[in-house]
Amino acid sequence: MRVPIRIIGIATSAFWIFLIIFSASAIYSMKDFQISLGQPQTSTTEDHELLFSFPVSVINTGLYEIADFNISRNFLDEEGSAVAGGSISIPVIGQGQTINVTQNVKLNVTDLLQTHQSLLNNDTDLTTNTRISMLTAGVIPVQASSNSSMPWGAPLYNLALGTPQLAMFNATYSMATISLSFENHAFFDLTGAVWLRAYSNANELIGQGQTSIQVAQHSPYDRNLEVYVPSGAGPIVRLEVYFVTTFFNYGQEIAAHGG
Amino acid sequence: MVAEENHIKGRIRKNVLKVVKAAVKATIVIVIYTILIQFLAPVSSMIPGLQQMIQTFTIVYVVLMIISDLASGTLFQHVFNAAKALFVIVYLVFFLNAGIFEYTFGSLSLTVDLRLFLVVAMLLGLLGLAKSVLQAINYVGERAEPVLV
Repeated sequence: MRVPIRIIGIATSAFWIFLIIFSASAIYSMKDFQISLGQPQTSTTEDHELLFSFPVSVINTGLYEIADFNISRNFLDEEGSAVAGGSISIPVIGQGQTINVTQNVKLNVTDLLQTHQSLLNNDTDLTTNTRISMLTAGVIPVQASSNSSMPWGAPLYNLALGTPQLAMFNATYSMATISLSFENHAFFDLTGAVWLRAYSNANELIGQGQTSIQVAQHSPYDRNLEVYVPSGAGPIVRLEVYFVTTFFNYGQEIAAHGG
Repeated sequence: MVAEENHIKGRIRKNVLKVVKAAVKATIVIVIYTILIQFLAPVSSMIPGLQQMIQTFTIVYVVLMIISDLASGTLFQHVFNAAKALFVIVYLVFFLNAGIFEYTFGSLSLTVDLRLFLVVAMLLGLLGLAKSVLQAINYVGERAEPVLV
């Protein structure tokens, strides 16, 4: 009985030594693994989606290779629901290997603004959830996740319509001049058309005007729009403004004062 | 008289050998612990509690090992060996949170899945426990043999 017991003892000790050395070296190896996530570059796609390109650099100078490396990134709204996301996988990162990749996240602005109209007028921060997972030393799953914020610039920040200024145009029509102003704080240029509809006290459409707009990102817009209304139609009490742009369609009702 | 003196000398020599053996084994474990702590120093600064966990584990393990060595030649040696094996299993399960190690550094949360490591360590612990039980059975058996003969 002594021999089998001794063999069990030797085998157990050998396995313990292997396990301790392997675990310690795997943990130690993690200090030589570096991930750097760069600042995103923003561009637009042909489908009128915003494309965020995040540069990712992975350096493995540790003792073991890293397998199943994955980075996933989600943009979350105020309620924590994902509005856009993307992920990138690298099957194996060998010892001493440096890998530079770009992770792309597409954001469908049309869908986002349809469900979150407040983003049209208000600058805010979108929460970005980044999740990194990998297999260290081929067998130990490690996962890290982090939340950060990314500024969102409203395309129609401070949208305002001025008081209609009526001037006699001819015997039957008057010309109402209405100032339209906003600031495009968005990552994209705003190109499209603006429609303006004027309503009377009886809630009847009495005139409408349209103009094309082209507002570069981070630029203000301040122009006068002209609407022709019948002279006897009474004052303009309500205005509706519609934006038809490459990224979104949006309408807003604004009470008119004066005119 | 001479035989009695020799018997006393023999017992003293036996006990001194036990103490020396226990001291040597404890020194080896402490040296391994010191090397391991230095090896893991860069990681220990990132994972608070790791050094404390290894330290507590080593202290209890060394104490049980010394007691077990001092009690060698008796049934208690095997009892303490079994206690040592059980301690390893319970301590690992308790401190490794059933194999899922989670830590949060500010906005970053880190999860390390050590279930495979834990399973292997528990199997080795169980093997150590089985060895101690077999040793105890063997010890009792060897003691009983002369009586039967």
